[in-house]
Amino acid sequence: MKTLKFNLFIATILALSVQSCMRSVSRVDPEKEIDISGRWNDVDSKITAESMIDQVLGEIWLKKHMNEKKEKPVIIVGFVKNKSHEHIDAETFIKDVEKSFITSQKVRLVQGGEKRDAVRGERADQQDNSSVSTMKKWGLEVGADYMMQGSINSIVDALDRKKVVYYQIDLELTNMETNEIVWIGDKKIKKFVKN
Amino acid sequence: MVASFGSVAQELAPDQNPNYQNSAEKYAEKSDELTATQSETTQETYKAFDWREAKAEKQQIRKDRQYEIRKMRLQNRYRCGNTNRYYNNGNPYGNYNNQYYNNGYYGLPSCGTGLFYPFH
Repeated sequence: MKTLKFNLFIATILALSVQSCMRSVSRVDPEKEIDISGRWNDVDSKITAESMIDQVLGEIWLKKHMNEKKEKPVIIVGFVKNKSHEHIDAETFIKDVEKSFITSQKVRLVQGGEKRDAVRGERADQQDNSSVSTMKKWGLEVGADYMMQGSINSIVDALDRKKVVYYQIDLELTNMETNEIVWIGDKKIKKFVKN
Repeated sequence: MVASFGSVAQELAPDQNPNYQNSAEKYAEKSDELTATQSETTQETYKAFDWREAKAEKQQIRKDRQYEIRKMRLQNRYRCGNTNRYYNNGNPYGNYNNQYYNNGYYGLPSCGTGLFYPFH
């Protein structure tokens, strides 16, 4: 009887300990802000996108272009250099900025990079395989007026169990013809991480 | 190969540099390379110094080194010292004078000295 009780006790302890090791997954709202490690995360990307969208659509360069050219500016997205200490993919916030261009209807966007090559490849294929009335012509792409480029930088200050991490995300628009920088937007994020 | 831009004659715009063709040709050769990174993030990250991470790395290097030393000692145990007790036919006391011992296993006196022959 004593042995049985003892065995039952051990089995209960084991069962509880195994349960505490079991992983649990729950879906959370993407808008919910959760910081775990202190590294760059989706919250940082979201606040960067929001700030950049407000800046790029609200500043003087857009009005100036509209007054001079009487038409919406065309933008192409260039590269973003990550010079920080972490792996950061700018596409998470650049895509939000691009989406805001389309939804606001204030700025036109043209495709660039690999996706543009893929479109051209399909257009080339159409020359041989599509009907004459539906195949698309070469030489009619919309030329961009401005290129958007950016950089991500960081400064880390750490001692013992405390760390201050500062990120600066810069985006700029450059006139494709004159090389003039017409807009610079930035977002600064500073975090204090304590272990 | 020099790219030609002569197929469509371009009239000079007001204030346009007449030498534009040089630049156009130079960049036409490199356009694929230069446009390859459009819409991409180029990773040029650096390693930030963190006291705790540096300490953990040093500890890991020390542990790895100790492991390698132990491994080397284990691999070299047949070359130095009396290991016959493990290698021969079950005699726990070893056989210094048996045929296995005299065929290449060196005794303690010769360990580390490099002087094998005087001791055998």
